[in-house]
Parts: sequence; structure tokens; C-alpha cells
Amino acid sequence: MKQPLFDIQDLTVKLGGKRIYSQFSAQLPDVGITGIIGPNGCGKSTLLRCLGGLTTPENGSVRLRGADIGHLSSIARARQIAFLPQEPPMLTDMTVEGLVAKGRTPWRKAFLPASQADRDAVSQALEATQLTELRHRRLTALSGGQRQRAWIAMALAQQTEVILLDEPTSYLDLPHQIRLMQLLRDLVAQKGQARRVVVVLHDLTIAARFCDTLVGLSDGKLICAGPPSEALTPKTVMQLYGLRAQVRPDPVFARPVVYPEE
Amino acid sequence: MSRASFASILVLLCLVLCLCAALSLRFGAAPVTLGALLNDTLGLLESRMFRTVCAICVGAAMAISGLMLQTLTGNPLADPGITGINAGAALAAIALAYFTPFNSGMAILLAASVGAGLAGYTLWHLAGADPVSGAGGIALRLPLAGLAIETLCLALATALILADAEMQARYLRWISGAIPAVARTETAPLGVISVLLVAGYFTCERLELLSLGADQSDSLGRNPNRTVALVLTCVTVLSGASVAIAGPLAFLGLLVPFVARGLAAGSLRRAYLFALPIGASALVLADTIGRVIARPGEVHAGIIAALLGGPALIMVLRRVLRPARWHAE
Repeated sequence: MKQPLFDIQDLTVKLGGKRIYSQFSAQLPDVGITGIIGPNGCGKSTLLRCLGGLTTPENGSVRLRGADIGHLSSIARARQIAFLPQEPPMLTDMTVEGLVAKGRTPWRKAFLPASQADRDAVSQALEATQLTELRHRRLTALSGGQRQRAWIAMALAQQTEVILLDEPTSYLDLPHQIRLMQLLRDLVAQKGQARRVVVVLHDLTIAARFCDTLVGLSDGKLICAGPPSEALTPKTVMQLYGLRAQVRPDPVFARPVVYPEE
Repeated sequence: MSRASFASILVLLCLVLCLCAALSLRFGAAPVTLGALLNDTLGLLESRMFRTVCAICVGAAMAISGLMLQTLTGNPLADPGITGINAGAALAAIALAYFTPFNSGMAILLAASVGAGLAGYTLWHLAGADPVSGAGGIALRLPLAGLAIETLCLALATALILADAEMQARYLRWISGAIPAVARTETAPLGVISVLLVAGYFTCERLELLSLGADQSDSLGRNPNRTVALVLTCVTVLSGASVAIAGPLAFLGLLVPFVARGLAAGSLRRAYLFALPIGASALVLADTIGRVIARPGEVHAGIIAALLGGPALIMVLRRVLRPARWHAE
């Protein structure tokens, strides 16, 4: 079997005295987009934070292509993994370009101005997210979808192998959700750069349509993992959400769609 | 903002500062002719020079500590004057003078910095800020808690001063925020301010990352806790040093960053460079006005700053309370 992207062994995580994970082990395969699904409060965000090295587990290890994330220096980690939190934080006065340039932080040398490589990475990221025209606008002047793209552009400028996204579609309407997922598809399909995306999603239809692998979590336990057609079945939907449902392929893309019966 | 307009604004601000400094050297409580001043028969020019340098340093320091504190807390009302950090520094400095025989510049500076740090620590806890994410729900609690600390510390400090005739002679002028006219123990704080104003510039990048969120800063390879520690150290020592020189000045650290941020169009480093000359000019000007309007007496810079600052604060509040922009939770 191919080496997994993330190898999680015996993970134990406590948050505020509450145990979220206990002896949790899982492997995320090395494929384009991995979607993490599950009910509210099942530990999706915590898992993502552990993958990004932002939460230090009490016990156990997370390995990225064999390298223990807990042992990486913060700069080395920042050069391999980009992370976007669920809610882009408070609005700042920054311009789009200013924000995207922040993604270069782990590559910048202290006391030196931005290098040509930095500037190239920023303009590539702006182009990939179709923000070149808006580069001088303030973040506060953007629409929700544009702002979300600006944050993704920042993660792109970081030029990491892995991008972790926590519910990037929550505040977007349907066309913007589709456009965002399409953008993620473009990123992992780019030739020459083997980018990987791990994304927490709520919408099962979107998740099944755009992800290569789905990982289902409930109450700190791994319920299912695999391609959408295998991971989403009436049985797993019951285990994940306690919901009686039928799962049928959609007529256009033949991806599984969940039809709740209750 | 283009590079050219940034540079031209900065040059303009520096010219304004030079003009203010020239006014401060030319005009004072004692009306003298230009000729007499240049001949310097009275030693006036030297004393005015010293005073101007103090005002420049303190004005810049207050502006910068306000700017950093506001960015750190995400709260446009956070300023070492309003949040009680200056008052804490003043109380510590007064307590040192009252209870111990130490009164060297270094001792006062240390005491004031410790006082500023304690006040800041108390504030942080009273306002209930999460040590990492900071901004959270402290939009309103921060100035309220700060007001409580400020009132308490200033009341105690004034009581200590009034209790003793010698203390009155030395510190009554200082507690209302006055730029010193004769050199006493100011060298050490002046040096510390200069060093920190340069060092602070290099924390701008980190601080800006933190304003994107603690997680974001962490995932870009900059430890958010370290940023908070660096910035708070900078703020408290700057505030301690300026209080050691000129007493607890309010308003400057509130208003100057507001103007600087407006000019800087979203870049903290530019706001920093703008805040330096604006803060310095504002205090030099306030000090000069105070010396001229009530000849032969003097109105202290702190009082002038409060007189001008009050109405300006109302304008800021109107701006801040308008919805959106800085969204207060």
C-alpha cells in the first residue's frame, strides 16, 4: 500500500478537561481531496487542528508522510502545512495583497524585504483565486465569497504540500460553494505540484461530489473511510448521525446523495 | 497606497515635527527675542532643547504603545492612558519615591515599568481576555476595567504626594503630566525609549499575524504566546519609561494611532512609522501651547492634551460606535 498522507497513532486529546479522542488511530490516504464529515461536536475541528500541529495531543503521534509533526520546528511545519480556521478572524484593515503576502511568513528571512520568489508566489496565488483585479482592495470591502478566496490565496502563497481547511463553505451560498470546491479541485490537479487538501465539510452532497476520500467521525471514533461511494451508505449515515436514510447515486455525476427518511 | 504617497506622507509628517520642535525652541514661558535666545545668555535654549527632546520621545512612546495595545487587543479604545497602565506606572514610581530612598533614573524606570506591567496584568484578567485569542469579548470590558484601575491608582498616587510637603514639591507637577524643564533623572528612560521604538518596529510583522488570529499566526510559524509577551513587554516598558519622564499622560496613545492607522491604509508597519512623528509633534505642540497661553505661568502638557483630547475622543467614539468596521462583539 502507498504511504498514507497522515498517519495518526493512538491519539489522545483533552480539551478543557473533556476527552475528545482516546487512543484514536487512522490513516488518511495520499489522494487529492480528503473530506472529514460527522455531526456537530464530533471532533472534526480538533482532528484538523492536530493534523496542523496546532493542538498538542496528550498522547500519540501524527505523522505527515512519515515525519512526526510534533517534532518539527514551527517554521518547518509552516512550510509543509497551511491551515485555515473555521471563521476567518476579525476583519482587519489589510488589503487583499497584504493578507496574501502574510502567507510568505515562513519563507521570509528576518530583516530582509520580500524576495522575487515571495512576490511571484503572491501573484500566482492571487491569479489562481482570481483576485488579481482586487489586490488593492481592503478585506472589509469584499463580499463573503471573495474574502474566503483571499484567505485561501494566503494559504496558497504559503506553498505547502498540504492545505487544511475547516468548513470553508459554511458562510457561502450554493454557487460560491461550488466555485470554492472547484478551486480546490484545480489546486490538487495542478501539474508539477502534488498539493493535498484536507477539508472539514458539513454538506454531504458537496463532500461526496468533490472529495476523493471521505472520513466519517462520530464522538471521537472513526466510523468510515474510503471513496464516497463506499464511505456513504445507509449504515454509516445511521452510525454517524443517527439518521435513517437512503443513499442513491445522483443521476448526473453518479456520486452518492443521502435522502433522510425521517 | 503606493510607495510614493507613503514616502511623501512620512516626509511631510517629519517636516511638521521639525516645525513643532522649532516652535518649542523659540517660544516658552519667558518671552525673549530671537537674538537673546541665540546668544543664550540665560541658558534658556539648552533647557528648551532638553524639554523638546523629552516631549518628542514621550510623545512617540505613548503613540506607539497605544498603537501596539490597540492592535493586540483589536480594540480601538485600548490606550495605556485609558486602560490604567500609565496610572499603574505612576503609582509605582510615586510609591518608590515615598517609601524608599532610591530615586535614580534607572530605579524609577524599573518601578514604573513593573507598575505598568502589574496594571496591565490586572487589566487583562479583569477584562476577562483569553490569553491567546485576546480580542474576544473585551471590547467594552477593557475600557471599563481600565477606568477602574486608572482611578484607583491615580487616587492612591495623589494621596501619597499630598501626604508629604517634599513629595508635593517634587511630584505635584509631574502627576498632571508635565514635560520636565530641568534635567534630573531622565537619561535612562530616554535611552530605553529610543531602543524600544526601534525594536518595536520589528514586532509589527508578528503582531499583524496575530491580528489574523492565534491559530493563523501559529500555522504560519509564529508562536502567538511569544508575540503577546513581546508586545506586552514593549508596551509596559515604553509606558513605564514615559511615565518616569513626564507623568501619566492620557489621550495621546488613543488619538495618534487612530490617525496613523487611517493614513496607513491597512499596513501596521506604515502606521508605526506614521505614529512616531505624529505622536512626537502632538506632545511638543501641546507642551509649547501650555507654556505660552498662561504666561508667566504654565499649563502642563498633560492638561492641554486632555483639553484637546476630550473633544477628539468624542469624535473617535462616534466613529467607533458606528456599526461594522471593527466589529465589537
